[in-house]
Order: sequence, then structure tokens, then C-alpha cells
Amino acid sequence: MTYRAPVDDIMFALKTAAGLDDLIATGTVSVDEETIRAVIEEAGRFGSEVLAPLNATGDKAGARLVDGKVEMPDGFKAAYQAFAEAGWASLSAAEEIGGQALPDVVSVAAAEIWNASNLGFGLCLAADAGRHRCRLGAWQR
Amino acid sequence: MAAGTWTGTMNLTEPHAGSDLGQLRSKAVRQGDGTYRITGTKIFITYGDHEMTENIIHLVLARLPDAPPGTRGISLFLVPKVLVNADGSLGERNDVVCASLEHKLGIHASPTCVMKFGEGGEGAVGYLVGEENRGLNVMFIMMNAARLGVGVQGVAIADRATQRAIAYAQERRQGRSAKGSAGEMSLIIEHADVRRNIMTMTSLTQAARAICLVTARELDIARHGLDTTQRQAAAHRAALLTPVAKAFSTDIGVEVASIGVQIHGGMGFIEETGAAQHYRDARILPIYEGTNGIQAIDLLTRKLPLEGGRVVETYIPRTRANCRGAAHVQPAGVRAHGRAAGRELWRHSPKPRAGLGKRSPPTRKPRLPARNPICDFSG
Repeated sequence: MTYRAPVDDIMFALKTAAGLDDLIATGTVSVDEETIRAVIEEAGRFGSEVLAPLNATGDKAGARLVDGKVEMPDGFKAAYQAFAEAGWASLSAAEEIGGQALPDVVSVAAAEIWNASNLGFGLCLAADAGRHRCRLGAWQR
Repeated sequence: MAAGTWTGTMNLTEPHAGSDLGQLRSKAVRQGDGTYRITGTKIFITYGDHEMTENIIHLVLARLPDAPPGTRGISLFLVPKVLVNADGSLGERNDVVCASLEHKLGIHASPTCVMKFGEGGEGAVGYLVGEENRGLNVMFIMMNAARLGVGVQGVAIADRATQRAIAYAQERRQGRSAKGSAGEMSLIIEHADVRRNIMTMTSLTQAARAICLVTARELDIARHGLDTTQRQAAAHRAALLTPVAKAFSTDIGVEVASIGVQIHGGMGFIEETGAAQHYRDARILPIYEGTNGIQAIDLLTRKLPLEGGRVVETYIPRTRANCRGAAHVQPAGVRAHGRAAGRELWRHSPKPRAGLGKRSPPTRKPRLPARNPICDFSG
């Protein structure tokens, strides 16, 4: 069964619960709604095409410890490389550390898609948002 | 790391120090060159080792020899898997290894590692993050963001389980529904109980998604709001909502994945349908990054008292106003959906026969339900 990112549901929650229009109007979010929808659609495509096919196989094979090194299930390394090359690892990181500085409302929406496609894969990114924030905040203080 | 060339880990837990971080024993010793040497064992380290990137950055909580006891004596260190030379190129392998992997109920693809620091000699090379003995302050910033991240995982697994259940219910035929014709099996989605289950899954998922995105909204305002007052107020609301987003979304993640198994009937218990994997995967979510019981303590002891209780006092009327607003602003959307869903449900339900609806009024006073959303939020 193919995973389809719930783009309409996510946009609905963004516009109603999270007040996206107001965030854009006040300049708190500096990208427009069309761009946000496009990013979420594209994330959905990556999730469906690259990550979701590895969900059941990754569960069955599992990560293994071989000679003191962890070997990932087949396809995970290539999927991660494609993920990083497409820029998905740096969505909400600030521009000064090489990120794309997209707002949290977008990176949270994208995180839903990575984890829904493949929770085992999504976990390698679990703490990233926090680390980016730390690097800009508390570390420098 | 922002480019995704390296990944990172958070190393908090030790065999005897889980939720109670004050008990941790990993050691850090100052060196003459400003670096530290780290020794100790950390457990449950997600992606503690893997081959997907050339380097991994471990953030490790440890204690200096002269540190005060408890949580006020914990420092945070950055320990790279591979040491980085002055010119940025990769140097020698640091003394940090994955000693074993856990065998888990779910999330099998994600390596959950026992990490050993400094097994081979004087310790793994570490760099202090922030100030000595102030490690938890930095770690809490990360943990708050990570807790929202786990809440989002609850939304994710709930949505995936719902999609799978709907797809199955739209192709599996069993029994005859109220509107089904004689001699023909109905799609199970036509059965009232299955529809009720799917509507429960959908509404819980959408509510959890909304809570997580509202928390993200507050984080955005906290960083990019118009002025300090607005930013501070939003930061407080984000702090208040984070344990709610984590606990509610992960609890419903398990519940929705469980209903997903139920909709598949016997096939849900069989691995090949995929419904069982979602249920197994979901089960960790109410546990890690602070169990949901810990979230309840966080909400009650740290978040409700924020600003003398004013943060939650102003948030509740705001939420009630939003509910009232939704009923009026979206007649074509939300309310119509609600009415249509009600009509659909009625149309596909077996109709009560005459007489069945006439019941004598209950003689006992209705009891409060043992479980309700308020109890869930506050543990």
C-alpha cells in the first residue's frame, strides 16, 4: 500500500490551527503559501518514492552490528544520501550554518512525512532541529 | 551537520540513570589543551553508529571530577566519532564505539546502541558545550525540540495507520451492511463500526497534527516575532504546549495504530498486511524523550506555574474562543463535514426498530468517565 502525504490535511491544519495567513502577513514567516505547499508536496513525493518502499524491508532486516560497526538495512545509505543532497536535512537550520531557514511550521510538516513514510529512517533526524537551534542559541551565550 | 553530511546523537541515558539524570556517572577530565577526556557507558542511543555518513557527532552528558552532585553537576560535551583536523579534514578515529544493539519491539531499522566512551585508554576526546556544570540547560533546549519531534512521530504513525486501514476497508468484503443487498458481501467500510473506527482514527490524527503545528507556530513567533514581548509570550506558550503535543500525539499514535490493526481483523495480527508494524513502531513513542508520565510532571510542575500561572490562564480562553470561532467561521467546511459525517453514519447504520428507542430514564446518576482528555493531558 503506497503512502500518500496528506498535503491537503496538512495545509488545512496550517491555515486554521496554526494561523499561517497571519504568520505570513506579519512577516513571522517569510515564505508564501504557494512555496510552502510546493515544499510539502515535494517532501511527500520523496517520502512516497524513496522512503516508504524501505519501511517494511527495513523492519524485517533491521540494523545489524557486524565487526563493531552498524550495518543499515539495504537501501538506507543511498536513501540518506539522496535525502541530504536534495537539501531535506537542512530545512529549518539557519542560513549562517548552511540551512534554508524555513520556518518550524514547515519543518514540522515535513517531519511528519519522513516519519510516516519510514519511522526507522526518520529517527536518524530526530534530534536535528534541536541541535541547530542549540548551535545558534545556548552554545554562543 | 546542517548540510546532512554528518548526523548527530544525544547521549543522556545510562543503565542506572534514565529519567533521573542526576544519577549519571560518565566522567569527563580536563586536559591542558582545553579539551576533555570522556569515559563511560550510554544506552538507548538512537543511530549511535551507522554507515550513512562519514562522521557522527555525539552530544554527551558527563560529570567533572569536582562537580557538585545531582543535576547541577552535569556538563555537556561534543564527542565526534572521527576527530576533525584543524583544516576541517577528518583525522583519527575517536575512542567511542557501539558495543551492542538492542533487540526491540519495533523501529527495527533504527539502530539503538549501547555506546562505550574511552574503553581503549584514557578517554574519548570531547569538547565542552556551553559552561561546565550547566550541561542540562543546553540539553533541555534540545530536548524540548526533540519532544515536539516525537509528538510529530505520533501524528505520522497515526496518519500512516489510518491510510492503510481505509485502503483495506475499501477492498475487503465481509458480511452484509445495513444498505447491502441480499446475497452480496459488503465492503467492510460500509459497516457502521468500521466507519466509526475510521472516523475516530481520522479525528484523533487531525487533532494531534493541529496541536503539533500550533506548537511549531509558537516556536516561529518566539524566534521571529515582532518584538520582545511577543516573542517571550510565544516562547512561554511553546513551552506550555510541548508536553501536551508530545503526550497527546504519541498516546493517540498507539491508539490509532491499534484501531488500524482492529480494522484489518485477523489479518491485522499477521505481519504481511503492515498494520502490525505500525502498532509495534508506535509503542516506543509514549516512552522515549521523557515518558508521558514525565510529560505530565513537566506540565504540572514547570509549565502550568509559568509566570505565576498567567500563561495557561490566558491560553485556555484563547482556545475556547478558537472553538467558538470554528463553529461560525467554517459553516461550509468543518460544520458541514460534521453534519455530513453524521448523516453518512446514520445512513449506513442498522435502524432501530420501533419501540427500541423508548427507554425509561436512567435511575442512576451518570458517573464521570474514568478516562477523559483532561485526565490524559494531566496524567
